[in-house]
Amino acid sequence: MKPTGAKVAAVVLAGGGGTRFGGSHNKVYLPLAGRRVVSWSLMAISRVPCIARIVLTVRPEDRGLAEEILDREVPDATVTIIEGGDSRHASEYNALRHLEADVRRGEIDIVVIHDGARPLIAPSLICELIDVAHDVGGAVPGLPISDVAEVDGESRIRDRFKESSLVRVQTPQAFDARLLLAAYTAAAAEGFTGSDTSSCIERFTDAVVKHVPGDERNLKLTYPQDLFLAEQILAASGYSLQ
Amino acid sequence: MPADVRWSDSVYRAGLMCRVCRDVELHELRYAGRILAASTCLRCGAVVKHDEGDLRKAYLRDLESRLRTKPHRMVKRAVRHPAKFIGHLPSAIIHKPLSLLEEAKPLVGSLAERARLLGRANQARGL
Repeated sequence: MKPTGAKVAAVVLAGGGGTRFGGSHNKVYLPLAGRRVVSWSLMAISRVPCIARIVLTVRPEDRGLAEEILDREVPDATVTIIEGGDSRHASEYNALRHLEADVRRGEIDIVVIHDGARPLIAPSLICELIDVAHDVGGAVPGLPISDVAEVDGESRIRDRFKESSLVRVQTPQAFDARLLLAAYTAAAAEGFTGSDTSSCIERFTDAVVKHVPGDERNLKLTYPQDLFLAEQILAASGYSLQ
Repeated sequence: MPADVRWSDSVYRAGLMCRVCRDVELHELRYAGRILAASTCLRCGAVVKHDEGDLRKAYLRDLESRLRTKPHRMVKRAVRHPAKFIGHLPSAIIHKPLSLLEEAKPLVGSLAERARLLGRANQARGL
């Protein structure tokens, strides 16, 4: 599982929660098959040998809950909890600033960014992303989209594509640490807020970001139905995705 | 821990997307032990439920697994935080049976509902 020899840090984003309901109703702290949603991600990440640092970004009001969950459910992993920002982009920037000194000293080569609401990640996918990011600068998992139709402004179907070059992007996403830090520093200077990590690195650096085949099981918990499905996937995999 | 995150071991609330409201709404999620039993949108009332027969089987399987692994988990906790473990033990002895009853409520509720419907059907058939 450690072909590159890269020194890697992983950032798990758990700062969301829907501003209308407050951070205390954040879905990443819901129970899922005996553990909290976010614990599944952290456990998968902690099984990747080259990941030396794990950072969890949380809302200030969730810190106590996050500490209790880590102590109870992920006791063997060393996870640093830091406060996130008002947006995903701001949370990523906070995490990068937390890692900045180590990146500049060359103690971290690659940073993996993961959404805490995607609990079903396999360590093998994380390893593949790290390998590709080490080679080219950035790697993003995605699933191909087929049966795509183009619709005009009046909802009329313009064109259909059985196969398309579009992919549905997932996390984790892996990047060269120095390029990522440079991109977010430049974004902060310009006041740019990216929709995801890749969009920021694409805008502010010349790094190549390559697509890696994603995993259908790596679903983002969005609807209640997703929780039922995630429970079934975990049960079918013996509670350990490979 | 924020008080409103977990007011019972089997009921949680979180913002999730509702297929009816087509927006992120507060949902109430009921668990039977470690198994998600049902989710209700607190805005429109849309319910997503675990199949009842399957839920009972899954719950009993899970309960058996939890009882089997409980001693191991207790030892691990005692080793990690001995003082905290001993401090919490008296309260756990009192509250654990109550929390087990609380978590089984969705199952008891569904059994009671089935019994009620069966009784009504028998009444209608003059049995």
